[in-house]
Amino acid sequence: MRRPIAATSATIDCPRRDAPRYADLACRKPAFLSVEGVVKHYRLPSLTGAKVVKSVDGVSLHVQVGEVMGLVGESGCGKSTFARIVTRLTNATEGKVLIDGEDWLAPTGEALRRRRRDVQLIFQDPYAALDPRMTIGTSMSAPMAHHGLGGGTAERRARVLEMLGDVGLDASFYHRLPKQCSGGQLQRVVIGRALLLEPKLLICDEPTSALDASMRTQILNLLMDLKLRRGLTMVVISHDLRVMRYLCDRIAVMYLGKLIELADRDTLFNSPTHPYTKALLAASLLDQNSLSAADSLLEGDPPSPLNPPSGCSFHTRCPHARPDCAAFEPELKLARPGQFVRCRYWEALAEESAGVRETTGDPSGTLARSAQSAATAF
Amino acid sequence: MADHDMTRENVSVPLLEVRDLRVSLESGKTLIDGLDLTIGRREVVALVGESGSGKSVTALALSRLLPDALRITSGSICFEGQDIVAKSDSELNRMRGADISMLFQQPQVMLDPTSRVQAQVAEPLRKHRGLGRRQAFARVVDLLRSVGIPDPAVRARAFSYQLSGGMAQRVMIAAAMAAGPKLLIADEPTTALDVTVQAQILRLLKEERERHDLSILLITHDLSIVSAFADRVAVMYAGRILEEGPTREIMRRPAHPYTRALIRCSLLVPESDGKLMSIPGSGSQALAIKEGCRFAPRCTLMREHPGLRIACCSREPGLEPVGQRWKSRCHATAEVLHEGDVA
Repeated sequence: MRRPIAATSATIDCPRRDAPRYADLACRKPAFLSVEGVVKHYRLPSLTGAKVVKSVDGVSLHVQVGEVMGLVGESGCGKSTFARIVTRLTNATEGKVLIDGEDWLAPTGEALRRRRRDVQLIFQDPYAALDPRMTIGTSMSAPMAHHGLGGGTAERRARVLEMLGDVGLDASFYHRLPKQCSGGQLQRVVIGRALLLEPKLLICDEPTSALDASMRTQILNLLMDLKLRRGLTMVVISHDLRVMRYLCDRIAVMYLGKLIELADRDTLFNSPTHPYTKALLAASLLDQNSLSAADSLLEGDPPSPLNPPSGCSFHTRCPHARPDCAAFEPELKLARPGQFVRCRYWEALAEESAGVRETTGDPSGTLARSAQSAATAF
Repeated sequence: MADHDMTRENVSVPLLEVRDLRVSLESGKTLIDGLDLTIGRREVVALVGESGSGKSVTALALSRLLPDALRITSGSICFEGQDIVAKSDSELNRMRGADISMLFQQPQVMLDPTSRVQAQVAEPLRKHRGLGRRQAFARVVDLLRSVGIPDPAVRARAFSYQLSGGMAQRVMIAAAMAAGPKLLIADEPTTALDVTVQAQILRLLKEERERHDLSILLITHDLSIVSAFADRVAVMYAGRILEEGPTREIMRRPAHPYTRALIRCSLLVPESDGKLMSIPGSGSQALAIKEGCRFAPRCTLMREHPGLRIACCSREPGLEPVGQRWKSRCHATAEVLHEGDVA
């Protein structure tokens, strides 16, 4: 019996946007960041016996050199836990993480400390990421000193000043305190501080969520610049699909600790396959009609990860759920080239919606419209 | 006959009319500087702006909930023809929750963790509608059902920490709607929620508006909500309204360079140079500008048209009419409109 191509194999690698779609599947180029079946369970003590929260429940993801991978999902879906595992801020319960072919979960103590500079993390709130009593210059040179980089104090100072210029700030910021800067400026400082360590991988956890619209675009321009000019490999975590569409090559959608769809950016936005992805797109890319169109919005909240539903974890909110969705858990399967989906009925749903489109004479479909017209939605 | 006259008068007087409102810190720094805002009956008005522009201070001023350090130094806030600024504390307490309700960003923080949902939703009914404990609690279940809470009878006995963010915001909406207010001031009601839940809450607010002939002042920094939700939009910057008018027109072709830049920023669509639009500088210093337009230091239009510089930097433009119920505070409205549709 032929097994469907499951996400746990290395075949999940999909090439950069401009390369032919099957290139990776054929040559099996090793991924730069390779996450295999990572599981993180938190044990919560309770009166009725310990409960287990499956925060990340078997995620496999492979990121190529220079690729920007997006991770999107509602709060509680495990995307930040995933970031904490990949940055070694917490230990995985199970699974493997390889960076550049080397086991990234093995090193401990001094060996880990020395290698931490390879993977840097950018947090949501830049005010919280900087010591309010340290000047920007001190904050930015401290990690270099910690890792013994940049020679002496004078050389480090020169490199910090150079980096300030690279992230679009002038030298006067060197002596400023965080309270004298705006949120967008501080987020540049945080990004610059991470880049000074010359990381191989940058994990951005909601890098623009705390910022105003005008600041957000400054940070996105900077991140895009890093991607294009430095070819930095990044994993970007966000709940904002507009940010994802701008920045990412591929996007993984998480729900209750599992990947439920993984596709390159254009495929995901133009032909989302999983019902949850569709709902997420409809809710993010609001237009004048989306609040009145009754079918496009999800009902209810995400279920508690303490007590996840049986079978497909999305069936409790899925508008297309069928009786056996509660009984069998679907696997992440290849749907189209470069697109993986965890739904047993995605083909039937795709046919149905094609049928609806024909009968209603809406050739683009409600969703395709909301996705494409997002640019003109305002 | 008298009743008839009353209704006629009510129709002609807007529900809320703010004239020349000024709010200052005790130190004398002015945070809201001559704000004019009108909200009609059943109208949804969005107040948008970046952080620090004064939109939340406006929300607090409208229900006279300003912290002690802030004072209303001049202006009037007329609710159905009565000036809120002149009201006494007991008059205000009779008004809050009964005529004007508020909704805040973090529902779980706003709910009292020590009392059950039913007690908190029942409070406006008991205070303003004179219902007894039992009658009020009976109404609570209906109210919770109407805001889409499953198992309302069970949830009524829950505590706030047992609710998700979306559920807590629904409870807040039920409490805000309990006494049948005419105006709901919602300060970033969905910012702390997931996008899927955000859409649910916005839809619920729209339904409540239809059901209760409610007017809503929505305060937000998210322009994508505005176009889906509001009839009219007012754009705030450094304590002033820079543009105000019908959402559809403004979102398509704004008359102020700041509005235009803000919309371009929110769209996240690259400009011709491949970069996203960003507004240079930050607005935090703009309150200190005493001469000329407050947005001038960051205005790209002024940089592109050097001829404007003298006017923009020396004389602050007034809020001039652009179209039907549409005003903009710019010396170069014609030039902005000439740039065409924003997307």
